[in-house]
Amino acid sequence: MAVKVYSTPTCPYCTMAKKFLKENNVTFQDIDVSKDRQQAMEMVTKSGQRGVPVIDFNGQIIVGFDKSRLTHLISH
Amino acid sequence: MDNEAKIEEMNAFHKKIHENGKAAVVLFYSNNCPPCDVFEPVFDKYSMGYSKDINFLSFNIKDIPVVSERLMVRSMPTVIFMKAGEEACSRLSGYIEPSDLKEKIENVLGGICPKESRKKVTADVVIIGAGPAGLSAALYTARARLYTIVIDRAMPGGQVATTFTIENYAGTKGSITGPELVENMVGQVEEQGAELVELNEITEVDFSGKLKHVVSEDTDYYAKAVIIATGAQPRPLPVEKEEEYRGRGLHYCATCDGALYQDADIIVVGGGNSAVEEAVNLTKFARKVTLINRSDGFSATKSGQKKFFDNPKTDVIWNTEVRELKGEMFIDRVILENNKTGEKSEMAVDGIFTLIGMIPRTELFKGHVNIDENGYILTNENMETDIPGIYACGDVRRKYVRQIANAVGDGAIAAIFAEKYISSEDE
Ligand SMILES: Cc1cc2nc3c(=O)[nH]c(=O)nc-3n(C[C@H](O)[C@H](O)[C@H](O)COP(=O)(O)OP(=O)(O)OC[C@H]3O[C@@H](n4cnc5c(N)ncnc54)[C@H](O)[C@@H]3O)c2cc1C
Repeated sequence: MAVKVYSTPTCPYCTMAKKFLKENNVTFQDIDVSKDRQQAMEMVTKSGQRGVPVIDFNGQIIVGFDKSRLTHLISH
Repeated sequence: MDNEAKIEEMNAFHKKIHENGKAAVVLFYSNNCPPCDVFEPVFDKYSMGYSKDINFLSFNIKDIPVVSERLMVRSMPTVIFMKAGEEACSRLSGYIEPSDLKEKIENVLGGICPKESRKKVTADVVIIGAGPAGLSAALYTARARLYTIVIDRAMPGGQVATTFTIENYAGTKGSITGPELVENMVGQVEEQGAELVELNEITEVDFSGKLKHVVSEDTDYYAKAVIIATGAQPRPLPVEKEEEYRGRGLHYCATCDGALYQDADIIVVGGGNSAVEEAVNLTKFARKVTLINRSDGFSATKSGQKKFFDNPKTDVIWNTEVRELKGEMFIDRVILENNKTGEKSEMAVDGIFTLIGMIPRTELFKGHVNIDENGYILTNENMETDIPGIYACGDVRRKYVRQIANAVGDGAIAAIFAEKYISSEDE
């Protein structure tokens, strides 16, 4: 399973999403898009937008902190 | 704590609760917890009556932090029923009725747990919203030794959680970041024993009974008094395709998404404190920040304006409104209109941050408390609504100034009057 979280350090919904994943024992790669421009571009291409967080959950792209969608993906 | 110690704590716990193969009633409590004190004699009484059939154990959560975390024990006290290493039936927490405990024990012993997926929690005070108003109220009620639950649909902090820096809140040595202020407030509130529930949106309320009922997706909360502190949310930019372009160039949170606009040309719509201050903050990332203001002056403070005009990367266009958003995938242009001359122009932009004020989050309370035509809750100066036992504080109230300083003030007042109300009702 590969999970990537594209985030910025100042975004509370990013913090929330990461906390939620941790609580559900999901390991993920945390990418700070304010530091890494190449990854920022990757995020924009993948998600078709510029808002953070973006979560790449095994190829499924989730924009924003969508708790119910994440819960669904985690349990399946 | 290292992993081994964690595993050891878990194992010791499981070993202890099922020592003789019986099922177990496990009580989790904490210090400084009024409902724990009330419940203790009840627990002792039942443990005498039933200890032949089922084990009774109680733990202070500070002694078993790993187990408490794993079992997600959040409310104090909580009673969990365990059978063969698994949690059986649903748990009880908060002010627990003796009859509920008895019924659960009988169910566990009889192996009949009716499927009830919803949790029920009874408290002295439920506070809806953990922005500065709700957190301040919680600090006061918790210190008054009232069992207090603060519930937020997102994470604590409200609008403050997404503000870069705050320079007008007393006691912060001049300046503090939003997240830091929130962290301080949350720490102080939790220290006093209030319980914080995140990611739990309240979707329904019923204030008609003596015990007020507040409903979320998975929990029924009951309380003697309810404090509404649901604050406000950003007013959407009044243009077509607003929703379509959200995140695709149109943003409402500069702190969150500003960093995605490195070296970009962006516009900020607005003219108040938030717009002017966030415009300056966005120059950390953007190449140029142009403020689009619909009148010919800012309503922001003098010091905010000075920072704006002193910054080489900022600019302003007066008497102008955004009429259209354009672009394939992302906004790349906007159509502006001068509202004095009616003249329209096109401007190339990479992104727009809109900060044109807030609208109160009160939809949920319509028909339950008095609300004015703009959606603000009406209270008197004691933060009392028209319903006894229901208070409102912070940005949701009808008032002239909406700042952290008076949100915190409102919260303190609401809490003090809620406390008075509860003690008079208890008599
Ligand atoms: C960009 C920006 C900058 C600002 N800068 C300053 C500043 O420098 N100084 C200053 O004094 N003020 C500033 N303010 C204003 C200040 O942040 C607000 O006045 C203050 O946050 C109001 O506090 P509150 O607790 O009433 O509401 P909020 O902060 O809005 O908090 C309300 C909380 O309730 C929760 N909630 C809402 N509905 C529900 C529900 N149904 N169930 C559960 N929870 C719910 C929300 O998630 C939120 O956390 C700024 C505001 C913004 C937007």
